[in-house]
Amino acid sequence: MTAALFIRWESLRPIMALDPSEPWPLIATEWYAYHEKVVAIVAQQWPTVRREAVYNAFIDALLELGKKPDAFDHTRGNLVTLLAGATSRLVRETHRSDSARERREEKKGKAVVAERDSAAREIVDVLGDKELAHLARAEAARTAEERRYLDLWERRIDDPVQLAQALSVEHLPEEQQQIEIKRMHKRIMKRLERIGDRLSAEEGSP
Amino acid sequence: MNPHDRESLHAAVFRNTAKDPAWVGYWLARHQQTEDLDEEQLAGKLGITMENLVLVCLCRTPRSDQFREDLRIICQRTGASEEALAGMLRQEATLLHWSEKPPTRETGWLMAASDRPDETPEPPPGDDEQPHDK
Repeated sequence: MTAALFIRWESLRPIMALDPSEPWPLIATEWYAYHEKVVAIVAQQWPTVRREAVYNAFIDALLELGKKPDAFDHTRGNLVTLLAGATSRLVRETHRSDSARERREEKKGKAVVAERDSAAREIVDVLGDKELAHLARAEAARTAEERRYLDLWERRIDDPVQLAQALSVEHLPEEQQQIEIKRMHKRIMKRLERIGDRLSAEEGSP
Repeated sequence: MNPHDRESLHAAVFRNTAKDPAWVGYWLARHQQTEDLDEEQLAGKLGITMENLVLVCLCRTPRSDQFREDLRIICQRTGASEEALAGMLRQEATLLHWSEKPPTRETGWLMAASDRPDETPEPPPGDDEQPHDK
C-alpha cells in the first residue's frame, strides 16, 4: 500500500491533548467557521490594510495553529481571541515588511530625484551671470509654461498652487495637476542635464 | 460576506494549503495541475460545492496508519466522495514518489516493457502494489 508515502510529512509526535469533539483531520476545518468574527476583529485593528491581506493572514494563522492544536488552552481564553491574535500578528509582520519596502523605494526614488535636481541646479548656478546661462534657459524652457515653471524652480518655489498656475492646469483635478507638474519637472530636468553633459564634453575637448 | 470577499477568502485557502503537504489542499492542487482542472471542475469530481471544497482543502492529510478512518471522517464532514478523494490522494502521492525517485532498471514492470518493444508498456501497479512487486 502506498500508505508509507504519507509518513514523509506526518509528524511522528504523539497527538497532543485537544478538544475531543474535533477529530484530528478536521481541526482547521472546524476553526475556519470563525473566519467572519476573526476577520471583523482584525480588520478593525488594521483599518488601512486591504481585506485580501487580512484573509491571507487568517488562513496562514489557521494553518499554523491547526498543526499544533495543543496551543489552544480552553481555560485561558476563547478560540476567536487566539485566532484573532495570531492573524493580527501576521498582518503586523506583513504590514511592517511592506511599509519598510515602500519607505526604501520612496527614499531611493527621492534620492534619485534629489541627485538629478542637484545636478540640474548646478548647471544654472555655475553659469551664473554668463551669457550662456540665458541660452541654457532658452534651450531648457521653450514654451511659456516651461519658462514659468523653470523660473519657479530656479527660485526654489515648490508650492503646488503656484506650479499649477504656471502650467495653466489649475482647472484640473488635484491628482491630474500633480501628474502634469511631475511631467514638466522631469522634462525640464532632463533638458538641463543634457545641457550640462554637453557643456562638460565641450570643456573637456581641446 | 459579499461574493468578492468570499472569493478572496477561498483563494487564500487554495493558495496557502497548496504550499504544505500536511493539508489535503496540497494534494488537490497537485491533482489540478496533473489533470488540468480548475477549482470548479475539481469540486465536481469530488461531488461537492466550492464551499465544501474549501473545507476539504483545510483538512489534514490522512495519516498513514489511519488512512481509511481519516478519509472517512473528512468525507463524512465535507460530503466528498471517498473513492474520488482516495484516488486523487494516491495518484498524487505516487506521482510525487516517482518524480523524486525515478524507476531504475531493476524495476520489474519497466524491464518487462522494455524487453518487448512491440507491445505497449503495462499500466502502473494498483494501489496496494509497489512497482518492484511485479
